[in-house]
Amino acid sequence: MASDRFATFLFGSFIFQSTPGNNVLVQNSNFGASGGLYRNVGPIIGGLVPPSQPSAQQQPISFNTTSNNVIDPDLQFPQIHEWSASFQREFKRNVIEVNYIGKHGVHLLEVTTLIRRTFLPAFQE
Amino acid sequence: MSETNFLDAFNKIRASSSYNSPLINLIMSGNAANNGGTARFRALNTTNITQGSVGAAAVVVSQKTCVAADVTAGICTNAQLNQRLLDLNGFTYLLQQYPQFTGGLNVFDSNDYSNYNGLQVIFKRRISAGLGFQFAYTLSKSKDNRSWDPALSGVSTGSVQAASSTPFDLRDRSLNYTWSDFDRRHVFQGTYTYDLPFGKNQQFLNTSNAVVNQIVGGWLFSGTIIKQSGRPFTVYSGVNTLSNVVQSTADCNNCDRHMGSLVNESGRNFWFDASDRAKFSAPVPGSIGNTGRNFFIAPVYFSGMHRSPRNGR
Repeated sequence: MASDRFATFLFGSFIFQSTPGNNVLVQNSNFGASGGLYRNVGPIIGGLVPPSQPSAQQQPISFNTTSNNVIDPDLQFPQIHEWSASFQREFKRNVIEVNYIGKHGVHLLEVTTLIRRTFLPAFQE
Repeated sequence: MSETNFLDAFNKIRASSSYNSPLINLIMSGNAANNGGTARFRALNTTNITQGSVGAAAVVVSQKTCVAADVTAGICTNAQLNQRLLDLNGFTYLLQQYPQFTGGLNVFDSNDYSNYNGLQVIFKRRISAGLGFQFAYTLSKSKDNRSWDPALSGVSTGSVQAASSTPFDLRDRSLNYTWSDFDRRHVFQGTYTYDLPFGKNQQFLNTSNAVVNQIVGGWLFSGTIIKQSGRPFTVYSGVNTLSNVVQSTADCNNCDRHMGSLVNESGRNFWFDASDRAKFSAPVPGSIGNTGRNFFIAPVYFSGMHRSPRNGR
């Protein structure tokens, strides 16, 4: 039906998190491998430095052959409006029911691709 | 001959095998009088020109880097090898907004919309004298410009059915707004159960004879029925006349959306027979085709299941 077809939590928990610049992995695999003890791990964690800073994402990368994911800064929450009217009548052991349902959805989430973009007929020589 | 835009130049090159385009010369070589530009354009886009696939040709030009054959053709120099022609000639963003992302730039936004209207009539009978049923009819119409859940990696492209939910034109989502993929106009559903009136304490063959009762008693009829309109589907032209993301939909001469029925031709099943198929053609470069997304309707779906178990009365 015409509705929000999308689990909103999926956007928050996965899609948004996986966009460029939102998560940076930092790790140290030497400490454990060389016999480090858990009780000594505090300074090691404290010493981890992210390999890149958020400011690095302000400028788009110059060239990339793999796909990149971005989120529209004007993204809005999906809205669904639903209205219905029902009529139900029982006679003896029979029931007749007439229902009307209307639904309208706006700002539904979508994904599209800007590369191989829509052809531009407006170009002037 | 003057040209107004890339599409116009493409059409003129397509119309005449001897035509040299000043525009194509300019963007390929940096010099409008250098016919080597048009010659290379033709060589790179032989199939695209034949088919009218202007969207594919635009990407070929946009992503074109200088290679040895281009040096030979005189549109770039040895010093410019492996550099992008449009960058060299000052037309970096001419055909693609973000030409540096050659593998795709997926954008998540919130511009889709949908509408549904449905009318249901349900008639039910509680089990009485062994008979109970529920029958329902739904008349509904669902329209939207996408019918499936998006995910960032899930941009559907080309000619698969799901691709018709991808914008034909980024600036005009209404081009995709039409009957949903799941728009089944008429749906009839029913369930029923009926205890056959034979055997002990029943209307017929009411006997205390255990043998007779074992044979004729305790049977019931029950089942479910679904009959519903077919799902809409999109017929593509096979050509990228509008963009290189999704193929344009087909042109169909005087067709209505109820066209089609199952036919068997020499052992193969077709939905459109030979005369129907002859009505299809590819739209001209720059246009979308007159059928649009989800224009046609697939066969009616029917499912019936009937059981006659014994309820061990």
